[in-house]
Amino acid sequence: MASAKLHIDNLSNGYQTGKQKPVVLQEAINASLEPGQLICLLGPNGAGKSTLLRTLSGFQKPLSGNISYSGKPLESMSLRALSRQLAVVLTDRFSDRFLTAFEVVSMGRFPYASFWGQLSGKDNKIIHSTLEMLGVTSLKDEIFENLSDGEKQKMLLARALVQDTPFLFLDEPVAFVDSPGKIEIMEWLSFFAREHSKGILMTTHDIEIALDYADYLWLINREKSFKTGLPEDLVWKGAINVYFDRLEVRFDAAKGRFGVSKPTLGKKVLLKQAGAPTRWLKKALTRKGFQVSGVTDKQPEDFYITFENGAFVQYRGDELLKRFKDIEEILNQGIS
Amino acid sequence: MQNNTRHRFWFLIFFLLSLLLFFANLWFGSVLLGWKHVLSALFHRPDAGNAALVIVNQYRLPQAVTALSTGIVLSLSGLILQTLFRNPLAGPSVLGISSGASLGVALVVMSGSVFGLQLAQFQFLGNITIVMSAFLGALLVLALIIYVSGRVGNVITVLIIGIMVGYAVSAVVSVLQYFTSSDELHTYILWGLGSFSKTTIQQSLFLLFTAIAGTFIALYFVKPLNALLAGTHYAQSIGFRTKRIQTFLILVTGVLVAVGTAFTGPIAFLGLAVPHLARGFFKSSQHGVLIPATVLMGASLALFCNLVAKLPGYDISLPINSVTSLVGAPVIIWVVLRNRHLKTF
Repeated sequence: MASAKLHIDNLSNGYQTGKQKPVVLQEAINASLEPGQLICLLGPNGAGKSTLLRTLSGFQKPLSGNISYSGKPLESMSLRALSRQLAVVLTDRFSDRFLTAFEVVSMGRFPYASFWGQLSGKDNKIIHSTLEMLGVTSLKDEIFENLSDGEKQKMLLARALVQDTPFLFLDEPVAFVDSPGKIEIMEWLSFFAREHSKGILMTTHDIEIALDYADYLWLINREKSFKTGLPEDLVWKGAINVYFDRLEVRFDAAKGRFGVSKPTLGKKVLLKQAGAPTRWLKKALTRKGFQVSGVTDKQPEDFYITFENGAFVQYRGDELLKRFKDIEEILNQGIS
Repeated sequence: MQNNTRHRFWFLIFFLLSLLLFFANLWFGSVLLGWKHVLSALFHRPDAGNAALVIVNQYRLPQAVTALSTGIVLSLSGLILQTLFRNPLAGPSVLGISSGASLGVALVVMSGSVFGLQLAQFQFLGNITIVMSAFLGALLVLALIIYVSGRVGNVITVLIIGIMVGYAVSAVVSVLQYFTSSDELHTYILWGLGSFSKTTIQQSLFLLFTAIAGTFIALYFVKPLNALLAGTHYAQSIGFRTKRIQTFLILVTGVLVAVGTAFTGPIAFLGLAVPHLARGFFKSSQHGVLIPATVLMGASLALFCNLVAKLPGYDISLPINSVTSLVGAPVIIWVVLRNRHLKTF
């Protein structure tokens, strides 16, 4: 039995406008997406993430190479057959004064609905249980364009889920969504990958989200070849930096995020760790250019800052020098 | 569903309204006839009297059927084009098809002065010459649009090219007008004012047949049209061959507009305004509702405009284009004011 699997074989990613010379973004992409996997496609702006997603979705022809779904080549599949393999959440915007959220979600059942688009009892059941699961049932009769970006995204996710396909592609599903909404959407995506054995491929610019949730990363860049691997491996091997090649902004493998390596003012501050408050103080001081290091027992005569009894305090050895109610006060008054 | 019952109720109301307006069109006119005479004449009963027979069956009936059918044809085209182009200001005139018809008519009517030909002098053909030239001109532009849309595949590009073709054609017509004699100019301008009254009963029945066929074709595409509300990519992702569907529907609306314009001249605003009225009234964007709504409201509005144009009680009648513009323009202004960003319907 041919397993449900997306197979990409020697694909050239790029596009062609009219009779012009094709623009090749990446060559020789070999990869696969299996049920149960959540894969994040990462790359800098203009790397061709959306182009790759569009090519895999059959919206545009590949420049060369093969794509197959469950053993069937994409070019031999009808759009109807493809609509039972793959559902998409795109960045395409649409608005209509009277189109309701329910009507948008029900479009996902069109491949199964009757000639006139009437929904069967089964269709309605699937739509309602999906809306219920995503917690958006109360919004179903709202006009789609009046929803917030986060709510719209949930409805579009519901639309893709009710299409009931083994594969799900999402283009920037968490852009324009507030932080709790991002987490919600990502939790659902990993839930559907795990529990419903969906093969999910999504593009994102949010590298922290990708590192937290992706089973694999696909990295693309205009200059380099396609790279895939476990997120953690790609981080410690420094691959993230190589694929987002910027002089100033570097990916900090220790912190797991991008940052600028700023020249320091040279002034040293000793900090005695005491939970979240001192961690954020360290962040603020680093941002201001201080060299922050931890206090050790070997320097009993030095100044150091710590947090106790609800306030920041400065000590020299055992002698308490100053109290600060918050970080702003520390930065304003300066540290001796 | 509550909504369905409400929709059916209003479909019935609008059906009865168009029926009522249809009979009002037969009844009112410069010659006063009793409604009993009108009915007798309509069914060729002996008590009708010769005058009533001629007035009702040879003048008012074809005019009413033409108004009704043209209303349907143009409104339906407007609805389909607005969905295809995802643009609330798309309408039968934007594809350049009515301009194409104008060019055809201008070439034939003004050929005498400009080229020394006497095409319009074939009086025995009656208005057939004008109908055929309008139809050919419209088809010519339509063929161009189909060719372009087949090559570029982007509906917005097709829309822009349609508008540009419209401008180019108007320029050619202006040049022709500049060199033409005043008699011929008069004929052309009269055609440009639009009229539901220049058709024979056979022609009006042909228009009716076109309207019915157009309605059935539109109903056949309810599901893909609904899918296209979310844009072509989403429509494609749920299994629709959007490019093929778009090309076919542009062809269908093109033929509808070409036929309508050929017999009546360019009728302004109906095609643009009626779909908005239908959406606003039925508060839906589902084509299963909008297609019957547009057909019924388009027929009613065209019959109403024709009734207004007849100025019951007076001997003269207004050009139909002025009436449809006076009714249609406020609708468009209302649409624009309602959604200032013009990104939505």
